[in-house]
Amino acid sequence: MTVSLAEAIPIGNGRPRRRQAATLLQRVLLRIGFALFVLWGAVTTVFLVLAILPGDRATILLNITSGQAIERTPEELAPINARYGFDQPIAAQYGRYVFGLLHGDLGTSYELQRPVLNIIREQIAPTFTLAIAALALAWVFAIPWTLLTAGRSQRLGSFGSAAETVMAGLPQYWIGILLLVVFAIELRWFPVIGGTALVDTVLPTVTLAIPLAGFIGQSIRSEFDRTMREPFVLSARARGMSAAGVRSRHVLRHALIPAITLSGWAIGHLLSGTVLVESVFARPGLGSVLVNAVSNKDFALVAGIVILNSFIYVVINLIVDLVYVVVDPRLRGSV
Amino acid sequence: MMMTRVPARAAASLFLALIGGTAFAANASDEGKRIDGGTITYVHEQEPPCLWGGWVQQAYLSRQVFDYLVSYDDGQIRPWLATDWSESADRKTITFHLRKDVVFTDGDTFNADAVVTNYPAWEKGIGWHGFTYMTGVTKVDDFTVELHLSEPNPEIYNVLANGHYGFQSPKSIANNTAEQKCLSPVGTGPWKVEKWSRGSGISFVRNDAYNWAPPNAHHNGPAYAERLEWKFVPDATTRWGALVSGEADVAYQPPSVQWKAAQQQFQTLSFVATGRPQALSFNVSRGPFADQRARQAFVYATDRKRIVDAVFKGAVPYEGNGSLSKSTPLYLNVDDRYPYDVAKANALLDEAGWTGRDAEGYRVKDGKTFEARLPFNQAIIDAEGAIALQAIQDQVKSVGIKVDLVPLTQTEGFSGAYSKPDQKEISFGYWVWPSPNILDIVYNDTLNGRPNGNNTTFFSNAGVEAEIIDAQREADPEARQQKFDAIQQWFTDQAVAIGVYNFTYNVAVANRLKGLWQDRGNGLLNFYDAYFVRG
Amino acid sequence: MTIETTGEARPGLRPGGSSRLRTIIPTAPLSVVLSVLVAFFFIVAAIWPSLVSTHSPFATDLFNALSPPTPEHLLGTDDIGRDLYSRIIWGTRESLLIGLGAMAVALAGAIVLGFAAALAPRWIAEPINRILEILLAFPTLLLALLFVALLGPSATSLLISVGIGTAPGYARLIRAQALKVDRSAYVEAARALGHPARSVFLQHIAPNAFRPLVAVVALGIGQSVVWASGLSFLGLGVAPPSPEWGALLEAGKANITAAWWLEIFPGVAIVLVALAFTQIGRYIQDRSEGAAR
Repeated sequence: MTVSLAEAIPIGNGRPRRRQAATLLQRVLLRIGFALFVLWGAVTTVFLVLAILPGDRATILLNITSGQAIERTPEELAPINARYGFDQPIAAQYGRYVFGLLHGDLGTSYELQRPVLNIIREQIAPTFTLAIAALALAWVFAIPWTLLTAGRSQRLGSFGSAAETVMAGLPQYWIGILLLVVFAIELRWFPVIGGTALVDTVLPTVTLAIPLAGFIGQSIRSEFDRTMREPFVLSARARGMSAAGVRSRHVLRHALIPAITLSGWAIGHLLSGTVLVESVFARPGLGSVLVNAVSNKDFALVAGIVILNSFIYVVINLIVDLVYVVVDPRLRGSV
Repeated sequence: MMMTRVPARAAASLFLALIGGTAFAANASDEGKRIDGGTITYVHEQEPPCLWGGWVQQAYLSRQVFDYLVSYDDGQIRPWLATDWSESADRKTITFHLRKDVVFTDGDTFNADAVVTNYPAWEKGIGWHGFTYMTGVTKVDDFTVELHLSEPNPEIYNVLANGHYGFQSPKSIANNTAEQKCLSPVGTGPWKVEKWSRGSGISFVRNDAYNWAPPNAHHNGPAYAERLEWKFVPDATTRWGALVSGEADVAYQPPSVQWKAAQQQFQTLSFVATGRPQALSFNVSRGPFADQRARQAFVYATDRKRIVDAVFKGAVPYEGNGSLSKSTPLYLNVDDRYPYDVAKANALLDEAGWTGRDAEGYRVKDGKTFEARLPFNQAIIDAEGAIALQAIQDQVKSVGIKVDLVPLTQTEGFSGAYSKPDQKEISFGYWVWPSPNILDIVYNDTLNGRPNGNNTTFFSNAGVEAEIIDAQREADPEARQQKFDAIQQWFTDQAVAIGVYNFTYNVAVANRLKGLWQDRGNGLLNFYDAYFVRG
Repeated sequence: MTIETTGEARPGLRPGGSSRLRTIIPTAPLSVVLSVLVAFFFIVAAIWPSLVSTHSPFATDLFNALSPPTPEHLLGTDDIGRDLYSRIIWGTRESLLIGLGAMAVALAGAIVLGFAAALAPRWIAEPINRILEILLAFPTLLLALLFVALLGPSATSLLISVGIGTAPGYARLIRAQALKVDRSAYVEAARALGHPARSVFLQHIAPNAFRPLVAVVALGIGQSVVWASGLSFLGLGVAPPSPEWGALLEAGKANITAAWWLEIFPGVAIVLVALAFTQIGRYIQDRSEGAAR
């Protein structure tokens, strides 16, 4: 979703208004069409891959419910296969699933015995709030730090940069465990096992936010440094604007663009980000549900989560594009 | 956080407890300080997909919402939902007389019809049901049922008491959705499910009508506490931290490194699971371990006692018997049969013909290196178990045996990967089972006419199998013990399977909570008798 | 992860090898020198572990279990007496290999897909763009899980899964850069002068599209190591007794309240590697851009 400067500057826009509206509508419809295509593609890929994965679902189900790990006889497997439709050809199962999708039915998780929609509905809030909070916190760390240390002396810049690099390189589960042990178990500042109350989300949020802050900071910083060398900065100073003013009003805005893309990416990948944190802090969330669902070849549940993720990805992309336009007026003509 | 508000019905519970108290094994010294009500917070490790089923993790939960026909109490069978029972002459039919005052939490009545209605659910929901020798249940009259077995099974009572054979209300079986039956089945037990937040925990509330506890419980009537918060916390250190910080009252499986501290700072409970211990099962049908000397050499070369001590730091006991764990009925102690003896191991291997050496120092015979694949299911063997295996791997290296550890993901493990005789040389795992007929389950080479998947040693010996069945059928208890002793000794001498450690349920309890106990059949926690104390 | 950079295209820069080195090395700041030393140490540890380790990583010593750092065991021992320092050293090979390998897989895929999506004729580029969109919408975690499930837990499957999981992100970066460079004035001029498409691509587009990505790649190596160890942590990693760093962290957390060294030092190793490679990569990029200016 990046655009070059060349693309961004509109070269003479003489179209009449009504036609502009029509093409806008066309573009929106096209976008929605692409989005649906992406969703469909993701679901189909999931089906294909899960179908190839080794492991027979009826066997897995029987084994999990009895704690054994053995091969099963066809007589044992037949009723399970019949009950869940595992014995039908993959194409038929796929067809049935897509048909259900078109009617708004996400299917049933055969392992958890519940409609997929219920499972997702329950688990999405903790994951989502954690991801958004972590992102917000990451920005709160990154912006002041960058403003403070970028574009000034070489020493300060490299110190700031080194701090960000360290933060970006910290494995999340490692920070999580250390924070848990130090602040919850030893110092007792925070609860060890939490629910969804505010105080329970502090440590998990900080854990996720630290590496994110590192990435975002680096991204802002490199753009910041680059932009500081642009001619318009010098001319703004020459016109009498203070150094701080130039930095915060002009340079920062330009520097934000890549970081916004990064944030969009971070939300789109919130599942991957949160799963380790959920495991360390014993929080419910879609990440661990996904790991289990893949282990059990629970097609419907994995597909449901993929659909959700793709949907969020598409929406986030749209939002990010809109934010670009707001942040960088140069882009207004081209979205 | 623990709440200790005293509810309005404290007087009623106290009264009930007093009138019922004399018949039960109550803990008198804390009675005076007891607080009625409150919320018990328990942190448990694994969250099963459904509350009820054939997995031991489900028995833990089932115990709270269901009751059982009988209770197992250190060798004695106690009446529970069945008041008395009698066996037929051929010991294949047991007639149970049922209590008449039991009611399900949805109002349905417990009677013979309820028992009969639950049998198909047991058959379908419990994967190993066939091994219990149960074939069906018939109604004799409104409060009498007959249980039919295909073989006499003196431990059938243990099976019925082990937490899986609870009763759901017929109304719920007929009318509730699969989701409801999975998450909040309706039983007669001291607790009922209020809400299951997947990934987080289950909230249980007290069944105020409860009045049919078994005699080995500590009191009759409703539970002392009002609520039970059962939280799922997969990480042991986190569970420990929750207990230490006061957020949890009871913690399951604290990290072994804290077990000694737990015994000093808190109350601890420990129960060795019945059935097969965590044992090394050798593939005796082919490969290097078809030779008894090779098997024995392997065992002599491992200092299993010290390994278990180092890895589990006293939290889990060493087990020498490869077939039965310490708490299983008719267990034989063979802990000292194979002391750590590297010289003997080397001598046996030389004798068995493994005299060559390859470039890495492993033994070679007929051009083949002594290599043993040991797959293990990561959903069953935890991190500490994996470390114990690595210690074993390193120790047998010094006598020239190469062990390849193959971790299996949950999918691979439960889909039966590495279960054929040409795919592995050693198996490792436990199996919770209440009776010695596990020898039949595990050493029989066929099951219903097909190869027996539970036979991980691929052992096949009709004579020995006949002896096992004979022992199982033996009517005289002393003769039966002797027969099973002989069988266990034989398997140990043959080194078909050798134990390493017992699967143990360890629990640490905060000092403000008293009365919690593990039942003697399957170590299930009885929160029903637990209460908070002042001070 | 994506770091968008909007550096403009420079004229195709191809000085001789040694003069390029000379422009990079001389006035390196302290942090870069340290990073090179650290990276060098770990690379030696990866190639020749027995040179720098003090014990065998697999040798158990049940009498010295859970010992804190001592002169004999520099970083302490684990539950069964294995020396942690040696295990970290021997684990370097696996962890670095996975990091580098994953990066190689990711780049290979990303280069093909990214350039194709940007520069190929429409009937090739459009489907590729659609596939990229679908892959990007997939949770990276899921891609990784599926590959580990498919191939079984091992270093190779970790490598491939992290590589494939991160490839779409890099592909998008490369596509964006390639598009930008493709439209730059210089490339247009080269085309107008009649240079064949292949040499335009190899001499101008490719190097200029890559240059801003060097730091990304370097950072990516560190990130791949972190990601792979995360998968190990979830139990999807290499077989024991392999001392891969993620496996060390997973094993260490059970004992953290009594044996903190088991959890701290492997994490420090991961951070050091990530840090070192990032610093070096960023420095190279800065210098090569500076040299090109």
